Amino acid sequence: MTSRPRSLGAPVLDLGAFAARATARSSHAFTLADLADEAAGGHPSQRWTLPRVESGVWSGFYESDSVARFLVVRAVAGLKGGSWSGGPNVTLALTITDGTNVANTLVEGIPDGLRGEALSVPPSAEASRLRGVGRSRWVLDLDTLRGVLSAATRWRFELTTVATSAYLESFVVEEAPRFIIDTGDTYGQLPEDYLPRAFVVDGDHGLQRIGATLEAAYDLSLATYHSMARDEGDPWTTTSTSFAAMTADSEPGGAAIRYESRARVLRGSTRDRVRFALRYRTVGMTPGDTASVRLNTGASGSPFVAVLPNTSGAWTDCSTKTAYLDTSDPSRLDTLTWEAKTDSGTLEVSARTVWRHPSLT
Amino acid sequence: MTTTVEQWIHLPASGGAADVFRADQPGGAGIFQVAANNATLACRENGLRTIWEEPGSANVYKNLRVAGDVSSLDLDADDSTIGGAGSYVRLAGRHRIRPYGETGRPTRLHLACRGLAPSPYTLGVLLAVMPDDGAVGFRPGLYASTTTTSTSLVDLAVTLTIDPAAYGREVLPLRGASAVEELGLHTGVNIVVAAWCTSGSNVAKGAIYGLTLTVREP
Repeated sequence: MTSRPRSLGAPVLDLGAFAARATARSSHAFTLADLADEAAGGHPSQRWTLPRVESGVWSGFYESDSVARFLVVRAVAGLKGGSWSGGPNVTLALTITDGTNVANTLVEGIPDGLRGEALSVPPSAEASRLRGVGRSRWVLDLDTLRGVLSAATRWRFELTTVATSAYLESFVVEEAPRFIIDTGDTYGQLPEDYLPRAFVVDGDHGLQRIGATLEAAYDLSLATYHSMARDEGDPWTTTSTSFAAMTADSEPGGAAIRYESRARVLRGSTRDRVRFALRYRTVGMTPGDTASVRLNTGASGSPFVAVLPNTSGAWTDCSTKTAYLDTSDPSRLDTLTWEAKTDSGTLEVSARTVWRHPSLT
Repeated sequence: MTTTVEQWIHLPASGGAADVFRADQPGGAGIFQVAANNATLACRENGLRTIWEEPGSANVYKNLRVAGDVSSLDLDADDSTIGGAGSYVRLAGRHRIRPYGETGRPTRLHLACRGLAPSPYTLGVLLAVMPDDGAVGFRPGLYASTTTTSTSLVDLAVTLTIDPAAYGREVLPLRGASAVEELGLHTGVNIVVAAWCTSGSNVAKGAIYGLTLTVREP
């Protein structure tokens, strides 16, 4: 296994360098390797974000089969109430599960500060809330987590917060870009295989890894398109027997709140394939009945419906569903809304995540 | 000559019998062109994404301190306090922001939402960035805003082309099980989203719904 550090940046590779009958020089392959590495590892974009919240239990989904090796976690705690007294803080307890196994200890990859410790708001918050926030940053090692959790499946983050005279102003989990090329990975081309004035030949890590690297840029460089959560103690709910916006998710007049998302446009107007998942439970549902949540997008085939079996009051992660985003609008933006119904009882939803799921075919 | 890319072109699967990059296969100029096209396009597109959502508020009535001067918006306001009642200020977190692929041009930060103002007042929405932890600097390239006087919900959008000089630089030591395994410099900004309403009174409230922050092409 060989690894080399790399800096972030996309080199300019003039396509004219590869014109018919022109001689491709080794430096061109060098640059192509650099460009392919940047395409694959420079922009992993899955994330889980919470806007301002207080105490509660919050969830979001993450596709673990990704080019990312590390996650960067950032939390910001801000003063609530105007006066600093008694040490305002938010405690943060993060767990990650693949549905069967759970990571929640240091050796399983959850660092100090995210296992129930407090993130404090400093006294300077009294003078300026914005400047006087408490901030912290952690790094999660995905290889460590993959040693505990299934490496090629969907994971769910769960954060339990207890806020004391404070808000958790923001909580962001985002994939870090790759700063090395590692031949132990399934992708990545070492640029130094192509030396100035040398012939382009297959080395130990020959040119053939550029193909795999480009494929990783296409189907393993993922992004989260929509990620929202509510406290399990105050979820979105519905008792409607026909599709309608859920409580706390509607505009005046009753229409579902609209969210925008920027689809990836690589293949013209070919719609962008995504996956979505929900955390939900049913309460008071008649045995044999079901509930449904549908995701409305601008793509053909919309709406995309998830049929949710009765859970008899237990919080459950639904199976992963496939949907599509529209890519034909010049703005590259698509509008997402959510609606739900239930045959009986109450449907409650606490998390919904949409992420890129490209197809090579 | 410039690089012109618009469309990803599939190549035969790597490792397969038809892999155009397999060992001892002549490296044709056309294949190199396709590979360069795909890599260039992916470098542009893979960094564009949605980064934050928030359902919004139907309780916006705190006004600017100086009429017409967005920089007078009280970003320290906390709507749980008497002085901050009716405010809407959200720290949308710190996010990685990078130029648009090989072009080096700055990407745009785009805030979309729906909003309405109580008659006869104005609702405003602010998008601002901070390179580092601290206060918002109200200078070009660091903030943008929009307003509406519509009393029914309308689409609102604020687009900010961030001054690249304002990208915050951050060294990321990425520690594995026992040691720092990757180390690098990347760029990002802290983002603030806020709203105001010129009514200044809780008897006439503005509202905003469905806030979404997106990193878009230049």
